[in-house]
Amino acid sequence: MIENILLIMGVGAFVTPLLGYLLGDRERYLGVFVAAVHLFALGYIYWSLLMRGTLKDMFYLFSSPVSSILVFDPLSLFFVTVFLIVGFIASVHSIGYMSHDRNLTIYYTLFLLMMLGLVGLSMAYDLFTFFVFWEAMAISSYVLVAFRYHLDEPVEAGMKYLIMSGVGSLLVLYAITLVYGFVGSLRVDFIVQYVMAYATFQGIEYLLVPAMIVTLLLVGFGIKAAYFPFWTWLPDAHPAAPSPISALLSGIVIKAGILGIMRFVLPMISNIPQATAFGTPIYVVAILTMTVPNIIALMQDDIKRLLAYSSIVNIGFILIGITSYVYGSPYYGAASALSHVFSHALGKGLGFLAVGGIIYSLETREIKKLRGLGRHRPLTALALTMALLSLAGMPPLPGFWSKWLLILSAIHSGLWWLAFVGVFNSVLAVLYYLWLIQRLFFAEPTEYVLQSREVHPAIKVSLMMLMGLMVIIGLYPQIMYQLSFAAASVIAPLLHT
Amino acid sequence: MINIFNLSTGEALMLSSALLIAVGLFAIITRRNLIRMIIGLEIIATGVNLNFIAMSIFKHGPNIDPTAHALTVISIVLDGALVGVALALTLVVYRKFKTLDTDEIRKLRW
Repeated sequence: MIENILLIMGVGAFVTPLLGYLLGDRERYLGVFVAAVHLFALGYIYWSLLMRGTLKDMFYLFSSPVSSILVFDPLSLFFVTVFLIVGFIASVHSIGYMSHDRNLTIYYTLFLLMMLGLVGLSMAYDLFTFFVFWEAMAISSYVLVAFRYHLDEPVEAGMKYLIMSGVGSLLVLYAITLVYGFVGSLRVDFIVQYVMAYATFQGIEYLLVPAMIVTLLLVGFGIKAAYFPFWTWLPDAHPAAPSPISALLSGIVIKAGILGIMRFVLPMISNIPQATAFGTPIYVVAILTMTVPNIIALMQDDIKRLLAYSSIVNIGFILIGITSYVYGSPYYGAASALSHVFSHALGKGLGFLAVGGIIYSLETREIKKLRGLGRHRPLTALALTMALLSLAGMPPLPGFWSKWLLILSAIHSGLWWLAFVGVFNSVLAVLYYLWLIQRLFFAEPTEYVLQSREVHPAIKVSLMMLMGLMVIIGLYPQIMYQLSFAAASVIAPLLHT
Repeated sequence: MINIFNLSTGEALMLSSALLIAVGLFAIITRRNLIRMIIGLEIIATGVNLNFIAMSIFKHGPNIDPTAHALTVISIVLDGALVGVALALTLVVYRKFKTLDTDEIRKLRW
């Protein structure tokens, strides 16, 4: 049964401390076990789906006596696949990157607990189950950001992240209480039926409560997904975390907010006849989320901070898809947003992991000290270049395919201005990506680069695996499109039924 | 217009939970001491949990709906975990910076 995947991750998370105790001084090799758990979970899903036959039209509900409901549908499959792939590669990377740190048992336990939370999030079908996994994911990520607590920056950034994200989770919980009070159930399908009945039979003044619920959910998820007014924690927290954790945070944890919007908010919005009233704020937020951090990113001299701002820009790109969902092309909108989730998870994951390799060998994050890296550390420089080119949207890489679909979906729903702003920001982002690539390859090596040490083999292996995956997805984008279109078909048809 | 002297139990609890959430948000926005901010976070959590109970009464009258109470207990446990992590981090912050004032803990903007 597919729900056993939660059991696999949970057992992994509880065996890890025991194993760490047994390993003693060799606890850095726990990463092998954690990576094996991810690979086993990923293999288990696809194996059990193959045993059942088709990947399409699957919809398995698992209910339990305490009104907690799990589901495994194409949307879950999409997010579980993305989460486990990035989690697997980040755990392989951790073996090398974290090899000089202490307390690694705690690190790997929290790592698996965070992945358990993420996998649970993608399978949750009622709001409270979602909230429980949300908190599991969030609390572990606060500790992981502040993991190197002997340094100043992670502690500060972790505290800031905790307070902002804590308020966000509590606002989500407040919205959940309101849903419970006015709908009487927390299941997605019951909520959608209720909203439809409410909006059809009653006047616009009765839309106040649904509007309040949707607003609270958008703010709460927005603090996690870090779009326009709520992104202030992200440029501090993502650079401060250890690099594999940065890759996880930027690649998949902020996508959990997008998952919440996809699973719960969009079906609610799209069944209200006055849906475009909610569309206007999302439209404005999408434009501001793309433009403002893009301009700030131009001025950064810290490479991890630059990538963190670029994550916010990409959340803005994902919001293009969500806006066109609300404005009348739900299927293409959702599919394009999901495929950008996929390609950004791979691209930004590779970006942060490559920077992790650079930090491992140079122990600096300043861009001006990285000049000429391409001649002495070709693998990490090549990985970073590939990540940046994919984020910029160069044709044979996954970033191109998803951005192309995003612009098409915006045009399909008649949002010409949004499409234009998207293209403009894409070009603006290419500016600083190319500037960085030029520094990496066409400058004389600095003394830091000349004195750099060899990259740990585990880091090399993880970078090569992710680069290979990106080349495969880039050459065969059907894999990404099939997953994301199947997932979009779960949320899109609700508009017309 | 709501007559505040003639409220049912559910309405009274809903209003007070909204008030608690407002107080907590006010505390987080205006205070500059980390402990006070965490207290604000906890006040919001209390308000939200109270709202669960209020909604259960609002929906079902005097008959008790066990779902809301079960969910409230779980969410109290989650808040406990959150505040535990928050206080542990506060301790580390105090050891590093010798202050809890967020204006002085500055490399970051709050």
